[in-house]
Amino acid sequence: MIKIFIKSIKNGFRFKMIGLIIYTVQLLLALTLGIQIYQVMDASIGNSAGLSNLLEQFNYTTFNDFLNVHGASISPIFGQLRYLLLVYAVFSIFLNAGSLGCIILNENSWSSFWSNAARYFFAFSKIALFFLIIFFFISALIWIPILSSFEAAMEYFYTEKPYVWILILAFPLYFLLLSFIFLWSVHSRISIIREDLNVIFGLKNGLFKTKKYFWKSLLVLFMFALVMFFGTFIYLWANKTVGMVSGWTILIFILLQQAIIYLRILWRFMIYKSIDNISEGNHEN
Amino acid sequence: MRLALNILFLTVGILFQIESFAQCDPYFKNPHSIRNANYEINLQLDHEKKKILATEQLIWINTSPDTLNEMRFYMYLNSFKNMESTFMKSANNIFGQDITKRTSDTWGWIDITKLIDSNGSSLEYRYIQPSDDNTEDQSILSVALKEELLPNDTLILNMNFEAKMPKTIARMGYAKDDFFMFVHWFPQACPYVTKADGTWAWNSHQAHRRTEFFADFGNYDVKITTDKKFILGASGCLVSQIENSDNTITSHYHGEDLIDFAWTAYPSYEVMEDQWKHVYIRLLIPGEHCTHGQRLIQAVKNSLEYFEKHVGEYPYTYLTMVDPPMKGLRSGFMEYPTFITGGSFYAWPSNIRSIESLMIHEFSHQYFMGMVASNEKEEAWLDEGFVTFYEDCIMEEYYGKDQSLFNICGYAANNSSFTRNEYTSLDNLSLDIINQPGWKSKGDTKPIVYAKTATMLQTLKRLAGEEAFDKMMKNYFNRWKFKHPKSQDFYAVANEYLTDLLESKYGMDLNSFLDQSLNTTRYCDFKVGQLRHIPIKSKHGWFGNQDKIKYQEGKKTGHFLSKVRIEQLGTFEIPVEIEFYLDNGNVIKEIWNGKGRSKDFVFEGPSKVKSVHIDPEQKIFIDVDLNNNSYFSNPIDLSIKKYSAKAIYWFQNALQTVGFLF
Ligand SMILES: [Zn+2]
Repeated sequence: MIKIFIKSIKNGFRFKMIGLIIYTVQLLLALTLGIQIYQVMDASIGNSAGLSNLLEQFNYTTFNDFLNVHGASISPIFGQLRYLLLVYAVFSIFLNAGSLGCIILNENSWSSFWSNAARYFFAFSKIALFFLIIFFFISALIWIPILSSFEAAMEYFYTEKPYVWILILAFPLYFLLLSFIFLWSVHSRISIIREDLNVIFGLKNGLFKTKKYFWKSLLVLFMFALVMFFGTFIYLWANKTVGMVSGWTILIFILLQQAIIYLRILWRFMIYKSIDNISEGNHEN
Repeated sequence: MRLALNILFLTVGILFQIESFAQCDPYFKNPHSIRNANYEINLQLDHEKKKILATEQLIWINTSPDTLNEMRFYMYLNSFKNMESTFMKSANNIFGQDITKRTSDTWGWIDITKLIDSNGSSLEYRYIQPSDDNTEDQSILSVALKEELLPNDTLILNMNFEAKMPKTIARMGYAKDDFFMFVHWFPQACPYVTKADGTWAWNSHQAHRRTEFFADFGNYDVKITTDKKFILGASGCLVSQIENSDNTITSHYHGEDLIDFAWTAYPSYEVMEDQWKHVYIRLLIPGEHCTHGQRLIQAVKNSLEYFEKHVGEYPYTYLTMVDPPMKGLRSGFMEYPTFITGGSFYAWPSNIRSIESLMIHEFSHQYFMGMVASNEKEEAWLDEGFVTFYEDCIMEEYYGKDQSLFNICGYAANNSSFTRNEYTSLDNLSLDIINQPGWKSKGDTKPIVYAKTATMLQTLKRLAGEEAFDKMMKNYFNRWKFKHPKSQDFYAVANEYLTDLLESKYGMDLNSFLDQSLNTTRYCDFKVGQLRHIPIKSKHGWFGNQDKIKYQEGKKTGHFLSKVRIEQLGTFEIPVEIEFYLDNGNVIKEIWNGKGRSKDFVFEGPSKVKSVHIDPEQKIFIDVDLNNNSYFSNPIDLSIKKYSAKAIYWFQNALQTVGFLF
């Protein structure tokens, strides 16, 4: 298992040029909003002493006065974010088709990225739609009963303690189910690429492989999740101990943030690779 | 063995009783108040039927110069009798609870079954509606007296009454597993007091969703008989407990100089006890909340200490705190004399101190409501505003200036800023005035009556300085404790202690400040408007006459004319300090009297004005936008870069997450 984990990490780094395409697309989209944030802040409180309050640490009054007075300029940006995420959701099917195609077929060039993206886009769109429905179904199945039964739970249990524990235990269950559909989705897509199956057979084959390798795959997913938690922890720790408090630290943190984003993309490639390795371990080195 | 165990428990029980009784003494050597409404109540709780059967003796003194032939009682429990009460009509949703869906056993009411005067004559009574024409409302009872009650005469009434508790609603009632909270549970005398014009009258407002209570001071002697399984807590102090033969226990509580009496019963309370100087503190808390019991006790100890130092001594030797179980949460967050209720949740995080803050709020009501017993119904700001102000002061003194309320991964707030934002974040800052009865307000009362008042007091404290402010409050407390002050009484004390100080310090008119804050919807928003630098040139053109005429070329002198416009975007008039920082490091301090919409300040010299700071110490905390109070001509945009970078990072992360799903 560790072997697959390490091999996948190495393999993930091999696709750094493809990762760069996704990174660039995301950066450009995020910049369109980030620049607006900069402009709104600059135009509204750019000359205020309140800004220096925000540099060393968060300041509730400065922040809320800004929102109260200039909220109308900020909220459209978050409105745009919603649409952007929606559009990106569709576009990411395209990008994922390209990257997954290259990773599975071991083609490491920009031209094969675009051709794979175009080739699998429609099949993967159907798969995305299918899993989106399952995702909403699972989310509704778990959270609607739990969240809507608070009053009833207070009437039923002696204290709120059992309810809190139900809530806490619902998270692992939810993530377990999400892991299952994630693995199923990846396995299905890999099947379509590797075995040239249609969507229905891809899903069937994906389900079969997911069930067969579920615990193994879950373990690898868990290992990657740990890597992510560790990274996040390091970032938050650095943020807390050093923080973006001066010109230099802001620059260093911007570089760190961008490195994290880029690594997150490769991290996803590594996960794809490891899932593929578990089920099709012998196909390649 | 069993006998031995019983003896052991009995001994422990007696020891425990002796110890706990020794911890509080309800009797004052001298009365603190006029004590014109005194109650002796004997009651039995039928927990299965959620009912109490009681006898009540009221000894009431007519402190007015009027002769009375009527007595009035609050019967607020009847608010929960049906949907037609004025209380229910003023809201169909109480704390998110849909009250229209109540079943027959979940309503509550109170009924007098026998009423006689000291001669034994039975008296006639009827429900009246002094506040509206709603004849279905039974929250005020009028009793026709057989004999006229002369000034200074004492009225003694004896009655039997029955009260059915509703399922928890608006701070009272029962919940499952025999949880009970009793407030407004007995016929309570309405005060006969002076109106604003000085004439005397009944102050008997019907129960309304937006108002709480106003009552006379007196002594309460209450004997409560319940099943043995219950743990009790009440206003006043436990004097004795007697076990009866029928598996019940009678607990005798006594409290002096109180304006009300509340109590609770629940078999599953844990009792945590503590002592602060002369005050015996008793916390009733369900087992699942015990992990933060000590936090709540410490919060109250901090409050006792703060109040003693800044306002005045807590004279009672007892205080009961209740943290209701979740199923009875609707009975929480309320203040009664020497009896306060908070609210918490299992595993409440330590970095979110709202549970302390709320307990401190309710404790502060012991001062403003319990002792300084202003009329909450008519002038709620005198208690809720003051209490919110002290809640914020105490929290910031003991839990950190910048993060007293919460600190979640560096995103922190202190109480006064949080309170201020409740007011400044209003969509319409001018919807309501502070000083009006609850039933007149058009919007939510919290941001105005609580938050704006507290922010106004915070402004006053910062302007006057803590020492002067404390001196004023100590005198207000001492003069008006155990009495019923009105707004004018506070104005009078404030004027006595702060008028000259504020006038000499800032040229400020205290009365105008109070009036604008409390009785108008004006808001304050200072802004640094334009800042312009005009280079000054030497004279340019022909100068002199005839043969002495000379042409002079205008040259740069290296001097500048800096013009700064200070604006008031609201209509609030208040003098304000302004600091102008020059390039050469000099600071010029000015005071603008705040009259009019704007004022231009002009400076001439070799240095330009680098930055302008209106009210640099943020004394005028009631200003609704503090960000526009300062202006740097060459700002450093590092903070903007920081937050823009953070925003980009989180946008990218959001995109990543979406990408991961598909
Ligand atoms: Zn309050």
